[in-house]
Amino acid sequence: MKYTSGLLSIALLLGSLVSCTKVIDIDTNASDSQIVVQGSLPSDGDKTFVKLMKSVNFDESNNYPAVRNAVVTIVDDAGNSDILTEVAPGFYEADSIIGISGRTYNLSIQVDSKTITSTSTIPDKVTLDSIIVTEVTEGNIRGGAASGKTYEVLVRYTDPANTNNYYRFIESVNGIETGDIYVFDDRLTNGLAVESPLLKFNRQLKSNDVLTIEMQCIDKNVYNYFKSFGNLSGGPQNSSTPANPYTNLIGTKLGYFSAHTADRKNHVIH
Amino acid sequence: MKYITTAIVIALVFISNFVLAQNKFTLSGTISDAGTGETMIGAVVRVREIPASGTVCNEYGFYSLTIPKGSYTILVQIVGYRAIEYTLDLSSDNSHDFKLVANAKSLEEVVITSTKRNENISSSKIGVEKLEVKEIKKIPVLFGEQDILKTLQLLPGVKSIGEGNGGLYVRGGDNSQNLILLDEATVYNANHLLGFFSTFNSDAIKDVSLYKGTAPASYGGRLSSVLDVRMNEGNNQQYHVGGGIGLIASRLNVEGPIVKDKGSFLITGRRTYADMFLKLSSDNNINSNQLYFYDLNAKANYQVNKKNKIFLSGYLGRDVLKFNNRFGIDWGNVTGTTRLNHIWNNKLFSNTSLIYSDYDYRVAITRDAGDFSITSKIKNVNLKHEFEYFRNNKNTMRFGINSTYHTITPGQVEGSDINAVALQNRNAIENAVYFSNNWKPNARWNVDYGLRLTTFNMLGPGDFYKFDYQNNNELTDTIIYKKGDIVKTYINLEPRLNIAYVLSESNSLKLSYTRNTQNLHVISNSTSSTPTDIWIASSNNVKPEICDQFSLGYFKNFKDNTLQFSTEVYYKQMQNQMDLKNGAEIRANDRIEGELLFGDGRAYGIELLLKKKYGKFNGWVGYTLSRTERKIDKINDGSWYAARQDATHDVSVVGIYDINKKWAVSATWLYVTGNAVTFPSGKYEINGLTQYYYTERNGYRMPDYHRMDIGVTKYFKKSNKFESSLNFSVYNLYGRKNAYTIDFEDNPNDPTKTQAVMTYLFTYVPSITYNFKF
Repeated sequence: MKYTSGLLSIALLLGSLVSCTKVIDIDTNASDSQIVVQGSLPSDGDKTFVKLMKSVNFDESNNYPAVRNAVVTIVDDAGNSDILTEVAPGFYEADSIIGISGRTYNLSIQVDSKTITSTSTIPDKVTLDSIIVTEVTEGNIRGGAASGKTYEVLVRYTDPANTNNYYRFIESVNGIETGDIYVFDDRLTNGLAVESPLLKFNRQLKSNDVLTIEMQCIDKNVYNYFKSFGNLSGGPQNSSTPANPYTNLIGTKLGYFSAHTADRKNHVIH
Repeated sequence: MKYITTAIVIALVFISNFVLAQNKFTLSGTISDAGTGETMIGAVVRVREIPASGTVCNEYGFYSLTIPKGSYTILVQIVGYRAIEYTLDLSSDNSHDFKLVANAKSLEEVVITSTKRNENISSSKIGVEKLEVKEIKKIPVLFGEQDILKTLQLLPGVKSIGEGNGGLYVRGGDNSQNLILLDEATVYNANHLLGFFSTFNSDAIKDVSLYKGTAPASYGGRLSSVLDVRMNEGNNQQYHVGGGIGLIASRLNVEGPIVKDKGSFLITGRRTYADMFLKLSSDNNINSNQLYFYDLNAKANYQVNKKNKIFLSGYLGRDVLKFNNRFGIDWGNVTGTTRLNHIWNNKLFSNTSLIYSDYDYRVAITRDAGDFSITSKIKNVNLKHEFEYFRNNKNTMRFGINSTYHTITPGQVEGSDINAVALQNRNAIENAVYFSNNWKPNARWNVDYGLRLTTFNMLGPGDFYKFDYQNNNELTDTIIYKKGDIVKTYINLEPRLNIAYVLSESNSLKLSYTRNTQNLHVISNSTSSTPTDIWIASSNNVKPEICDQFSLGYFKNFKDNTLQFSTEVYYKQMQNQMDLKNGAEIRANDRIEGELLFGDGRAYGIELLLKKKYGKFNGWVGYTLSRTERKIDKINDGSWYAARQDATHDVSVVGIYDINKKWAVSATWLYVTGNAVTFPSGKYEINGLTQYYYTERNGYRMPDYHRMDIGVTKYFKKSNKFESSLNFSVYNLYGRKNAYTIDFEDNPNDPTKTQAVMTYLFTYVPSITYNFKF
């Protein structure tokens, strides 16, 4: 994916030499509201939760109605089961179920006579050896802005040779997730000591910012979900056919259920 | 096997020749430009005494006319040249070469009333656009770079998608469904700089034909159109140097005789220098970037003797983009053609070509952590052997064989911190035998029929995968083939038929049917042709694309043939069309066929064209009303949806006015319905960020695209030794903000709202170009 982004950035650069932007009105159609599922089942002792909300029409404001009073159950292949508790509107937390590598978890959601199900397996853990954060002095395509310096982040880990591995990295600055999506597979790096950039143009950070990188080992379906995540649309150089991402949920179109390992590293910007 | 077939056909031709050779004699020869020695393409040869007779010289200037014994006046004519009248007593087979003199200026055009200018009415051709390079040179374009692809986009039935897109979408076909030929060699990627320029330097181009409907049987391998571009041969009389200096590129060409009257050469070059301006910047981030392309065309020909002429031609072009020595990509085409024209006798002409072409790209990323590169290539070697047999004044036949060996190197990925991956090469051989005949039973009917038989063999060695397309494209089996194994064979029969019925001197009705097949397919996740488009061949999973096209046309000329009107309706049915599944991995993926979805396509429309071809003022008005749809199983629940190149309305207006010998002005106006696009209808939130919910594929439209360009050319006083001109043009004169992309984002002033943001590129781009020749 690295090079595709590179190509896109070329197009952007070419464009930026002469391009301008303008906000326009688009009359979008109404959409049937979907239940959006975000399920997270980590193996490191963090809370297991499922968040349920509804999608809204494009021209409405960004207030997404919570889906309340759902019966959310997680059952694993070792015979454990747990009914999640709604601790805040639309936010369901597990009490007893824990994430263990190698186990498969079945999620079931019952709400408004609808049933949504999903399955996810926690792979063997691969540890995040280190993260390298360096200030970019050249090659910064958009040029540094006054507010901060631009940084490049590299992650280091060793890919096990005997399995197909899928990774997701989550970047947070001062505890707030940036929402950038970084997923890798080991198609080209099987069994290698990997040093891979989390490619992002114009990553601006200030002194004393705490950058946290969380590495998750995820299963293939979760990888496919994040990999197909793209919200580009429109013009000639962009992805021609934006579409809803692939999902591992049955019964709704939007969201995911991810059982995964987790490993974090922090870096304080000087 | 093929050679035996050919031998039989030739034998039949000779036998029929004997049978028919009674009291008729044949006049044959070559037609060329008196000033440059360049052979003419498409000059018309007629006999005044026999109105229904006549022939058109072929693409190498050869003509042959068989008529009864008698005294005749032969008329030879082509647009832009003074017509020739030649009288002769034909009592034996005769040979005569014609040399036509170019009109100094079209306004002084000599009108010989006896010559016909209604070739468009009487010929069987339908769905064909011919551009004259002289015409192209007067039409204003972006940055003043004359461009045949951009000019073709101004014709009905041909469109591009959005700003600066060099893609050709012909009658609902995709960009990758055009067969683009430069001196018979396939040009895989006809674009420079992501589509803002084409690979064709108009200094090197002699003739451009675009077949939107039925292409001659000698062409095959693409679904939607054939763009046949022929290079200039060079002046075999005198040496000349010409060129142009423009805002972003300069051109230079040299031509001259190798041996006067016998052979000539031409070398043209072009390079852009936009990156030179980047070097002027003191900012290190900017001045270390590179961004340029160049083209080199070369051609030579030599008349060995009266019967044999050889040609060599080649093209080399490359784009280079580099950022701060950290990221670079370069790509380009190479083509080479060797040809032998042989005149067997006064009726039988043959051309044998050995053709090579390739396209490759290389992406290189330099990082502190290590370098990373990808290389990919597609190439073919093609042998073509074609005969043209001017049987009598009613029948002209063409037949031949064609054998192409394709090699696709999908990609080699190398890097210091990754496992090098070399995707397996794919080899295939494509053979064709074809035959066509142009039959003119009388002055009313003109019929062209032909048949092309193609075989496509996907060859080993390699690992071939089987996928369950019903079940989420899961891999089900891997079969290993050895070198020389045939993995899969496809045989296709491609009939074609054109019928013209002349209602009167000034109007005719035409009908056509054709079937085309395509065995090389482009996989792209972008609407435009990007340098990293992926080519795949028909295989055990991918079936040949098939298109059946029906068209019907009415042609009418007004005002002594100076105004030509035509309307054509077409219907196209396409099979085995493909699209990518959501989130497809297309890079460095040897199981790419598992990322595909298959379905059908259809396109229909009506095209109207009113053209003024002669005189001080010329140009055209074109309008197309059309619909292009796809139906793919897992997209939009398997119902028909608009293809992205679907455009309901397409209007183009082109005007060129030669005021006098010093000044010419031109203007174009273009209006196209925005292409179909997928926009979100809903939204939701994942991990705190707004995400978009898409409900249907291509359910929305980009804003309509329109713009006007103008150009002014000043010709400086011409001497025997030197001529020059200055061209000034403005692109997008009224500054229309045409959408390049539309993106969706949270409103920065009100995070509870989302908004659509349009990016647009060019408003009022003036440019100036100086052209010279000595």
